[in-house]
Amino acid sequence: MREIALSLHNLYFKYPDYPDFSSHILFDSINLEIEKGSLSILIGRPDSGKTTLSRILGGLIPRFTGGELKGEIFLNGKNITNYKPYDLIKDIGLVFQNPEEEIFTTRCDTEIAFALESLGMAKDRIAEKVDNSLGAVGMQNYKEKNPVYLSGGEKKKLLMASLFAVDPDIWVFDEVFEELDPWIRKIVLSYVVKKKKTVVILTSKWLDVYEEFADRLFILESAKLHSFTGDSYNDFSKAIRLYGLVPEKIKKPASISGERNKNAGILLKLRGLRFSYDNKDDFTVEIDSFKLVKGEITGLIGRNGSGKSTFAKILCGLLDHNNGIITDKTGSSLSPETLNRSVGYLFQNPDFQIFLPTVEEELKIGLKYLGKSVQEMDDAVSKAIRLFDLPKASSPASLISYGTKRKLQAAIYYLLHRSVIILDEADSGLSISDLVSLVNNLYSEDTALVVITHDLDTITRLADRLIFMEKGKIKKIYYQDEFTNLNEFRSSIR
Amino acid sequence: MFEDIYYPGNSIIHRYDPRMKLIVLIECVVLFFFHIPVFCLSLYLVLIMAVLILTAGLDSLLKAIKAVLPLLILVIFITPLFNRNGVPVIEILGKPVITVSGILDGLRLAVRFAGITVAFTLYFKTTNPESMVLSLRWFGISFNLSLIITISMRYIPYIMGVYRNVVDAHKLRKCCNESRVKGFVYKFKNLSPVLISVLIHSIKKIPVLAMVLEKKGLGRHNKRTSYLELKKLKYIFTDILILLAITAIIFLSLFIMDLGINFLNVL
Repeated sequence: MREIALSLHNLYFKYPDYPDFSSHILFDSINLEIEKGSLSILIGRPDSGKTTLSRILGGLIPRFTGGELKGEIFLNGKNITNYKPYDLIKDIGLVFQNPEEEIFTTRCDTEIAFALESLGMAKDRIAEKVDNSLGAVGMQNYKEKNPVYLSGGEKKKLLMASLFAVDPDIWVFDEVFEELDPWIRKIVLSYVVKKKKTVVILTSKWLDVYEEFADRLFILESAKLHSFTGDSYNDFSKAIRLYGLVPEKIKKPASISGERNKNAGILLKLRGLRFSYDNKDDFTVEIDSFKLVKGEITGLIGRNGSGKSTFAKILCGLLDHNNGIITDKTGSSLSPETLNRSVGYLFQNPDFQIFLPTVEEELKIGLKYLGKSVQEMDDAVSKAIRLFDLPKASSPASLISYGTKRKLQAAIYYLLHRSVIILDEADSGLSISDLVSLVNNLYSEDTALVVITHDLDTITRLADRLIFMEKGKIKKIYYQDEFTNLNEFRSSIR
Repeated sequence: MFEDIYYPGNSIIHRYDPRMKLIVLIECVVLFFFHIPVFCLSLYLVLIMAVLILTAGLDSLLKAIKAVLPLLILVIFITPLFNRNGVPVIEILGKPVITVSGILDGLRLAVRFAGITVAFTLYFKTTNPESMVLSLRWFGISFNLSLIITISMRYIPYIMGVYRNVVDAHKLRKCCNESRVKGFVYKFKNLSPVLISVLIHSIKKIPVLAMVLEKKGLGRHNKRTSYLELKKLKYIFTDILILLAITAIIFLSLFIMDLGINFLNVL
């Protein structure tokens, strides 16, 4: 007889209305049954309510946000609808999409220990669990390190380690795997499957690793949940395509592939670059030579913590390099200030970039700096909202979902016509269809796009070349004809 | 996530027991409230500044002073207007406007304020938040209140971190042909979207933090344990001796100062 670990009965949820922003019904009579020891993938577009659902399961919503919740949630037959979050920590473990929201201690070990202390665990047992869980995610040397200095992916690994330590019955991952190295995805999923844990993965896209482990697929769309029990990957794949979460064919923008030796279209050249952080003296970025060419799409790949985001921040002038030179086509040196104004950078964490009260204000502020007229700004905003499938102009920017914030980031630079645009972990929170459409919208013959991602399958279909970074250095550059043979890179991330 | 004011290091001040350090901090604050001559108060300030530079670098001192500099300037210029006793320095229509006593009062207040700022900076730069919570708990303050105190202290550097992020985000939206040299009015006008952004982000952080703390079990009714522990008192004998020595030096210096002042008055 099948045992049900988690079930939702007629779940209904709607956020409170705000001035100029009426919330829609997010879940309308959702029913769900998840078997004990199964691994379920729940896919949905940005704004479909994945994060909200995960937080309802964890008892965090509507407790902290308000909103109207109806229906019942059962955990192992027990009605937990009105349970407090702290009473659920041994039952449901949740990893947030945005690690910046979750980490708040100043050492990696105390971050893991916090929940164990709450459970009243003995000091020696906590120490043992902290060591084991850090070891499980390959962070045994990070014990006393301040999480502030970790990369985005490393922060997610730290949160995984926290969950390993608490070891709850049900593990809920909210868009966690996209920014993680494939080897760590596999370690986590192998562990939970081996220990017969019940797992719910909320995601915007299907990753290869799910093929091996997934038992059920749910698609969240238009406030309804659609369930699929597939016998093979093909069954799930068909369902995902049916709902338009994967494009039938990834259409690559008309790029300059094959013109890599031409220097005519050079936008940026970089020589002898050296950079190290003041407080992170064991990490250095060293790039001997690099260039970006008009109309080229470059994929920047590498393990978590390999220096991809740091390199991106140097390219857009947010970090000033200690040594080396960045020049334009003519060889004139480009200052960080000039780079700020010519290179667009979509931060890995959109919360660090989307601050203003409404979508309209976010889109307009750069245009104001450009001195555009009110009419020009209104036209541009309408066009960007349509093209990037954004919510209406008056929507509060801080209330839109993580994935939609990514699209908004892209729309901002689309309107500013930057010659170089860097998308840092752009696929996180977006479906493959959304990512492809975003790249296509940003692409032009006069622009160079740099896409930082862990999604090798999609980027090999979009990029003209792949830059593989390791320990702050460019380890190898792959061009299109070498994409079928990425062995060196693949072995590094296994 | 919070950006931290803590400056990791292994100096003697870093290694000093956080409970004793907290007592020394209180002693320093009390010391700066004594009504003693500006020159003597300045000597204490110089001493504590030197310790901060040696343990957390000159940059830490400059940042701390820079943060309170407008207030210090305001105090120096405003205070003399409210104390017009003593020898006049500036007179208008025969009435004293600025006096020596007023100037000294302004300087004393400024040095006092700078001293307290530097003392707190030294404490925060050399004490990690975990040790702070542990030491507050040792003094009988509940875990929740200790956590609130340390988080509140870290909220200011957090807002500074958010401010830097917002400035970066706005920098990346500026245009290429914009003139680099801008007037004060332009800069002030452009500050408002940055400040609005910082405000929104900082307010948004509060419920998220509450969410995270409860998700990590804060609020449970069982007894909370501790992964990190402070050393037992018998193992910090040297630290206690240092505390006693510092206390004695403070009292002795105040006594000598008092003798000196009386001696000068007699002369």
